[in-house]
Amino acid sequence: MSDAISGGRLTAVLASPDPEPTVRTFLEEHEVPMTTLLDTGGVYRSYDRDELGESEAPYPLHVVIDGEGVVRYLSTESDPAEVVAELTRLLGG
Amino acid sequence: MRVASRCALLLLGTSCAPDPCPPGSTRWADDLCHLVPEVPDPAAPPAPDSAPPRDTGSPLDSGEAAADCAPLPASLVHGDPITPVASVETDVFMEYLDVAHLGDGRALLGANNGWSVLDLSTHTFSHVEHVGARSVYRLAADLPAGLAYGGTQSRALYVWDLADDPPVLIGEHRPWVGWHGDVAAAGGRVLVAAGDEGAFLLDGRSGSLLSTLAEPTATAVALTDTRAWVAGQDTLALYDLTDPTRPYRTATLALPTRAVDADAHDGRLVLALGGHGVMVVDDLGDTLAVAAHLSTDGPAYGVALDGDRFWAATWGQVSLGATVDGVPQWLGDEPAGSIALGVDAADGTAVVADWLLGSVLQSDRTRSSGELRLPDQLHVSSAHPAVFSLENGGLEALEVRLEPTAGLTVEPEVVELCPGESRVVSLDAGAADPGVAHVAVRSGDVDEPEISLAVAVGTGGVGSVHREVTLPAVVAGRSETEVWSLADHAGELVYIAWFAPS
Repeated sequence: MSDAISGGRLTAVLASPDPEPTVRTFLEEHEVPMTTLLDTGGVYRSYDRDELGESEAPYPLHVVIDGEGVVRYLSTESDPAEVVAELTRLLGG
Repeated sequence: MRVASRCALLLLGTSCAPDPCPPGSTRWADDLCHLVPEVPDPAAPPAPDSAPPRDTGSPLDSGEAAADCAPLPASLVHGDPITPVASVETDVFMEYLDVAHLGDGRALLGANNGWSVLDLSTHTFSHVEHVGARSVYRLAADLPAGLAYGGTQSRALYVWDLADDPPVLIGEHRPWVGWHGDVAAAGGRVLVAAGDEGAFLLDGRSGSLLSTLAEPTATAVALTDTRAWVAGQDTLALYDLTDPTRPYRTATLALPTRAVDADAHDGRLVLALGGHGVMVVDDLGDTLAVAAHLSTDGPAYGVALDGDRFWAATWGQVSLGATVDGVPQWLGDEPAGSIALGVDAADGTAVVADWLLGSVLQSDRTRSSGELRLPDQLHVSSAHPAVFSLENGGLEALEVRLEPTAGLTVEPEVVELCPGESRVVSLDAGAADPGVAHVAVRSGDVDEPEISLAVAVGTGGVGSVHREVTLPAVVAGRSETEVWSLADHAGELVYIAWFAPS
């Protein structure tokens, strides 16, 4: 990701509604170095499902928030190229 | 139903799984197909008054309430017609899609990843065959012939010998190329719905092709010793099989949509029509007559006939119907143990392919009451009001009282529903905080007198200011969680990817 995007300051984190032990085990087994939010309160439910369609699944869910705190991208489709393009655009790259 | 993409771990480069999921499910980031309920569009306007609900798919509102509801038919007593007996999960992860009641105390369940045998006396799985991603999509049993068949959609038709315990897979039939859907078996023969190739009638044991029933599409089939029912995209056809090598079509009937499952017995057919509910059709010799077209509480994926009873697996519910005063009608619903996708029944006992479970239900066709049908949950925006529908799927009147939690308002708060009626309720979440709120729903529904309807209130659409989020976070190399706050990243571009740790 860092190789794909440049031109500004980006914080990328993972999030999961699953219990901490499950998350830790996964991160360790797969050697994932990223900070992972424990979404035990169901933040994933707070997004406007009118925009997201009928899927109620907590994942996949991709959210991009700009420096002013405004939601700029929201999708339940995992499209790496689309996300990278959006991040690059917002970073002015 | 949208098929979501498969690569939640975008940043990790997880590969995508290309296989489509079964109807009504979506592939999550764990690479498994997860069922997703069909939630009505809360922003959709209420439908205008429509035809009587029992003749339609699932109207939101059936119009003006009757002055007086019809009483419970004299042949019935007030009570719950369905008693859940058991819901059983296996030790290994199985995803059950269909079931065949074997009539000898066993049921064969087909799964996305194998098949299992459920012992109906002990309510335990006596055999579980986990064979990876080799789905058994539809099952049919020919009990006098001692054979069962499993439709796999894209591969061969499995054949089991039922004389052994567990049943032994003795072969695979495939005298055709391409996709197939539903299967049916009777009289030593098996009928396979093969989409736009029509339906194939095979000798059950040898698999040799006896004849092709050349319909434009075939998606659901039923078979008796002398009749073949073939339902497709928009047509139901009945064939005479007196000479199985020369079947001839005796009657047809227009369908409102594609059929997904069928069962037939003694000149009666019951059809699962997905979101269009269930249709009961009678063979009158040279014509077909719709005995009833019944709405369901969720999409109908599986149906079964059991004498004059009929069952439907409708995702979140299992419905029982029977002929009352000469008309097929629902007696009531029972919430599914997990997700009801397939059903078979004998002697008043139904077995349900309940996604992660095999479930057993007992029926009492002398009982009925009011049966409240409503969405499992709602997703609404605080930006504009939404609507949802309440329906009485039973045979007694219901009074429904709605009590929302703070921030939500509903109108009306009290709804009277005669049997078969539905009413639209408006819901305004403008004063609600983001997150999950609830509406307490109380009614005379005998098995669900109080339901908590979850209302997920969303505000975080594109262009809106994201709410402040403070969550515990797992950070690599540290054993304790740390606090992560969106506010700490003001001025930065923040990307959050939800994923499945499995």
